[in-house]
Amino acid sequence: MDELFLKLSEVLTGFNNLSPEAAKLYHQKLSESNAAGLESLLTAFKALLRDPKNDIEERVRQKIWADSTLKSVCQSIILIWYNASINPGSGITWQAPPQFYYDALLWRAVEAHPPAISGGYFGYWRYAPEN
Amino acid sequence: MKKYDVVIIGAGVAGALIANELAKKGRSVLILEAGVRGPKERTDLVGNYLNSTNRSLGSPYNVFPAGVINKAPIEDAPNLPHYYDQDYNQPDQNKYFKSNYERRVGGSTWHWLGNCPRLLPNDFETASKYKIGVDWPIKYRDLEEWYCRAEHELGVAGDHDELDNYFGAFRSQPFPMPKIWPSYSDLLITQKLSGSSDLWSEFNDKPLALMSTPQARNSEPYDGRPVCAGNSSCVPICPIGAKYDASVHTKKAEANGADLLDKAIVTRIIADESGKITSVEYQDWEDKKHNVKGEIFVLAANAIESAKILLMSDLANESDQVGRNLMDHPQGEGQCIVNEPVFPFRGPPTTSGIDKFRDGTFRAKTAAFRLSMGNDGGGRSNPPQGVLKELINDNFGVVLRQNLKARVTSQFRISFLAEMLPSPDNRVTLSPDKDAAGIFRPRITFSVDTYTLNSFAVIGEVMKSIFLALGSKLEDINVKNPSFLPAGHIMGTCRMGNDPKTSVVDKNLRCHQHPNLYIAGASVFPTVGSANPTITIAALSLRLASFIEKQFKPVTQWHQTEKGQK
Ligand SMILES: Cc1cc2nc3c(=O)[nH]c(=O)nc-3n(C[C@H](O)[C@H](O)[C@H](O)COP(=O)(O)OP(=O)(O)OC[C@H]3O[C@@H](n4cnc5c(N)ncnc54)[C@H](O)[C@@H]3O)c2cc1C
Ligand code: SF4
Repeated sequence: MDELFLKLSEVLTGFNNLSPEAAKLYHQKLSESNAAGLESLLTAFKALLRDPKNDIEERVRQKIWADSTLKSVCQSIILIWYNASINPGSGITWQAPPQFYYDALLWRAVEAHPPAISGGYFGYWRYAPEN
Repeated sequence: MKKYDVVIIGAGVAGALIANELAKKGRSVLILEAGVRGPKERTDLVGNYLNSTNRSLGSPYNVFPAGVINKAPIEDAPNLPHYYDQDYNQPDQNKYFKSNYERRVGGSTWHWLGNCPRLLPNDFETASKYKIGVDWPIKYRDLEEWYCRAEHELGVAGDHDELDNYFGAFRSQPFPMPKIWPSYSDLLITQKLSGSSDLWSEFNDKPLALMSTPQARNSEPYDGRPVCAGNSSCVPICPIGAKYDASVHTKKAEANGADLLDKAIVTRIIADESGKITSVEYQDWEDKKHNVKGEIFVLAANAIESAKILLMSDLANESDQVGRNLMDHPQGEGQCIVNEPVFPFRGPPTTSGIDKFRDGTFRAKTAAFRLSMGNDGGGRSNPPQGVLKELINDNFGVVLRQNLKARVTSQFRISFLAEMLPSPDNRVTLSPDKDAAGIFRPRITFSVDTYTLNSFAVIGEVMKSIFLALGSKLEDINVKNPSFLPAGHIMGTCRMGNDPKTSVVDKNLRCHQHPNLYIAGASVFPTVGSANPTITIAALSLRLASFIEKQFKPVTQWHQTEKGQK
């Protein structure tokens, strides 16, 4: 199930090669607050994988994103990967341990680095990011 | 306990600098600090920050082992009730005091940003020049030498030539380090603004252009601390110590022989009938009371706590000015989307500013202000997490990633910091409520007046014109600031002046009524201009240490040897 979660996470986040370790942690964390919702999302996603037509992102858009219940589970998957934290609705934010925070996708997406980690050498901020 | 030459209350930058200067001269010095020391390693504090769920200002610091109650409470502590006693049900956001501080060895510089602009000559003379506020009893030229020394002590990186004589603020010495390099966006904006340098010429004849912000972060290895590596978390903590914090000087003071007691909350300063201070009373975190004697006493507990201690002691207040004239630098932000990426969230949160609006005859009617150019996207009001939340309503996957990149990398903010005038009604008094240590909480009455609030509209227009010059579309510009943001610049409450009827301390920072009690820190500022206060606090503290040293006879060789062996 973790592998399926990882595959779906890659589709939802737009990043490849996500960390299996983080996938395991996030899968477990999201299951704690919404096990049933996650289960039905993964079941729906598994069904899509069996159908080789079209690209997977498009199929997710049509079959999963279009369903408001499944979409909201997808959104929490995106948030947990991008922020390395999640507010499961109880009002108390859960924060992943620092090594996951370092990999929060938000910062990679905007070609920056998470605060408290060096982005390079003195003065790197003078230049545009390299990629 | 032995009698000390000098007893200092508060181990922030003000107290730490004075302690170090006097300990270096061989004086016996005791610093009493209400908060804790350490933990030993900066990495532990960074760990607290990383593990916290909100990464707030206090997140690295307000973490205590289970069962330990912080007896030096602050306003910002997560999950705890308010420390300030003020009317939180009051709907007008401009009538709260919002700034806070850190209470621990090293004080609030742990979480400061590090900007170090000096006050300008006219900031010391606003009553004479613009008929607003009051004049200081000293002038810029009296402090200039001490500004230079302060820049060397803290380690300020800056561009000497650019700032020398700007608005008449001459500089007798260069900065100890070259400026922090400008950010990618600073350079882009400089280029885009180059055709608009005569904008807002009605304010004064200075061009509308970016200038490097002098800042207490290393552009070279300095004083045993590393070069800034652009970790971008200066507020609330620099993980590598490239940004100055006052633990630098508490360590130096101790190495030079000063004693430092943490968890020592001063509750009362005691005077004899002549007004001479004989001792201070403090309470430890087990609530045990202690008394310590000294020759000279320095109150350096920051503007709120210093006023509170004087009020609790019923001292220095014949003028009825203690606690009055509380000020901050009301702040706000404007944001826009630039028509190309500016690549924020890399390097220090700000490296350049616009100083043009810091002086001019307009100050007779409207507050002076300084603009900071952000390297942090939409700044405090529009963080990237918010943009993400908005975008996931419509998108996921590669499209989400691309849209997020496009939006956030072209987000740009300017923040402003505005002058505030002293008002007797903005004040700290003693609340009937007590804190965890059984000590009066500060009761605060505060309101930002029209002199400052009116400037927000003008500043909005200035920011808008800059954003348009950057190629931003009107619909991508937001310059509305319905209420102010706090700067953390807590000033006033024990103002300096020549007249004992209208001020608390004289020009040497000595309490008019108490020959051996001095006050250090921004509480003595009669007015606040548009400069972040700490370099002025540091300059005044070094000047005060030199004045105090002159009160003593030269230290004998014997005394120095004895101290050396201690
Ligand atoms: C987010 C933020 C950003 C900032 N950025 C800047 C900036 O860029 N530039 C700038 O110039 N300034 C900045 N400041 C302001 C700066 O932090 C303060 O001006 C400076 O730290 C004040 O130093 P201080 O020594 O006067 O007081 P503090 O650092 O507050 O130290 C006072 C010490 O006294 C102790 N104390 C209090 N009560 C007692 C008592 N009863 N007994 C014993 N000890 C006591 C406290 O515990 C504290 O440690 C910022 C502030 C904040 C909040
Ligand atoms: S940018 Fe980073 S390294 Fe530089 S001072 Fe700030 S926190 Fe320290």
